Amino acid sequence: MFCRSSVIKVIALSLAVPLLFSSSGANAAKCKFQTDTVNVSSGEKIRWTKWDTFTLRIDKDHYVLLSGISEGDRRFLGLRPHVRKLQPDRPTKTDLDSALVIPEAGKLSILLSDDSVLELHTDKGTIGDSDFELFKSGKYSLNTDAIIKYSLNSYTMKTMAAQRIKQLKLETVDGNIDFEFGGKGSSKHKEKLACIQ
Amino acid sequence: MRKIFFLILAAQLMPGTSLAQDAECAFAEEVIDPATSVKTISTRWWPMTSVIAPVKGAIRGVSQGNSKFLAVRMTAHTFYPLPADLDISAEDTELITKHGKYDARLNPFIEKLQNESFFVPGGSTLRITLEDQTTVVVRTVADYKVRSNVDRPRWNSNGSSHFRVRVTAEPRYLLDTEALHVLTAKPAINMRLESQDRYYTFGHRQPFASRHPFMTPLSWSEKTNLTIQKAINCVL
Repeated sequence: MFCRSSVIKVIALSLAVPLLFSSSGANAAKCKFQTDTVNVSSGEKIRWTKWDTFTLRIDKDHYVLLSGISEGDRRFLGLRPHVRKLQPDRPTKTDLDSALVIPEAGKLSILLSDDSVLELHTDKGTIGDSDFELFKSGKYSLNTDAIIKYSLNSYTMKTMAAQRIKQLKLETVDGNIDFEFGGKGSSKHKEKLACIQ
Repeated sequence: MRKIFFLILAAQLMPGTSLAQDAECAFAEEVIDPATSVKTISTRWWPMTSVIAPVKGAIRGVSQGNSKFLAVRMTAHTFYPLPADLDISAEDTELITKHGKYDARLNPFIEKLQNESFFVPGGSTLRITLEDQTTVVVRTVADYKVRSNVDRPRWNSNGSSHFRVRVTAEPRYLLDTEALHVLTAKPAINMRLESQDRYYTFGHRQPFASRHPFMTPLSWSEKTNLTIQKAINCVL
C-alpha cells in the first residue's frame, strides 16, 4: 500500500512540476517588453509591454495599438492610434502638425462589456507624428501616429481587468475618434495590464 | 555560395550588428582650419537604418574646437506636384528625357524648391527618442542645403502630375551639456529630422515585422541601437 501511494505521489509530482513550469513559462512569454530599462534622469524603472494591435476589426483608415506602461510606482495605458487621411494637395507642415493633436488632460472614454463607461485622462498634450505618401490616384495619404499615455489607478486597473472593451472614444482637438471592437469586445488589455501589476 | 549570400544579406539587414560598426572610434576626417587653428574631427558614418527602410539615415560625431555636434545624413524620397505653369505633356516627357532637355525646363522650379522647401533652416530640430521613451531635442545652428535628384514627371490616374525627388541632407546639430549627458547614457530608438516643409522619421526596425495595414512614421523605428552613443563618445 505504501509503495503504491508513493508511486502515485511520484507520478503526480512528475506531472505537476512540468505543468507548473510550463504555465509560468507561458505567462512569462506573454509579458514581452518593448522597453525595460531605467529613466536616464529619474532613475525610475520603466517598462512598456510590446505594442499589440488592439482593434479586432482593423479599419482601413484607423486602428490602434496598445501597451501597458509602468514608470516607478505609476501605471499607464499606452495607446498608439494610427490615422490615415486622404487629401488632394501635398500636405503642408501645418497639415502634418495638426493631423492628430491630443489636448492636455485629453479624455479616453472606454465602453466596457457591462455598458458602463470608464474615463481615463492624459497628463500632457501630444502632437502626432505624420508622414505622407502619394497614391497613383494622385491623392496624398497623410499617415499619422501618436503615443499617448493615460494614467491608471488601482480602481481603473481593477475595473478594466474584469471587463472586455467594446469601444474607445479618443478625444482630440478636432473631435472624437472611435475605435470599435466588435460585438463581444476585446480582452487584450487584460494581459497587458497584468504584466505591469 | 548561397550561404555566403544569405550571410551578407543578413548583415546588411542588421546594421547594428555588423562587424564594421563594432569597430570603435573609426575617424574619417580630421581638418585644421589654417586661419583659426580650430581642429575638426569627424567619426565615420554609422548607419541608423536597415536597407529596406524608406528613409535612410546615418550619423557621425563631430568635434569642432570645444563644440560637439551630431551630424545626420538622411536620404529619402518626397513628391511634389508639377507646377501649373510648366508647359509639359506626358508625350513630351519621354522625348525630353531622351534628349537631355528635361533638366533645363525643370531646373528653375527645382532651384526654387531647394531654396524654399527642401532645405534645413538654422534652428531646425532633430528629435531623438531614447530607449526609456524620453526625447531629446537638438537644433541646427546654420542653414543646410539639400542635394536632390529629380525623377521624370509621372501622370496620376486623375490627370494630375507629380515628380519624385530624392533628397539628401547632411545637417549638424549642436550638442549642449545636457544632450551630451543623455545621449551618451541611453541608446536611441528613432529620430525625427525637421526640414523647411516636412519631417523625416527614421530609426532601426525589425525587418518584415509589421502586420499593419499602412505604415506610419514610427512604424519604421521600434528597435534600439547604440550608434549615437558610440559616435558621441568618440568625440568627447
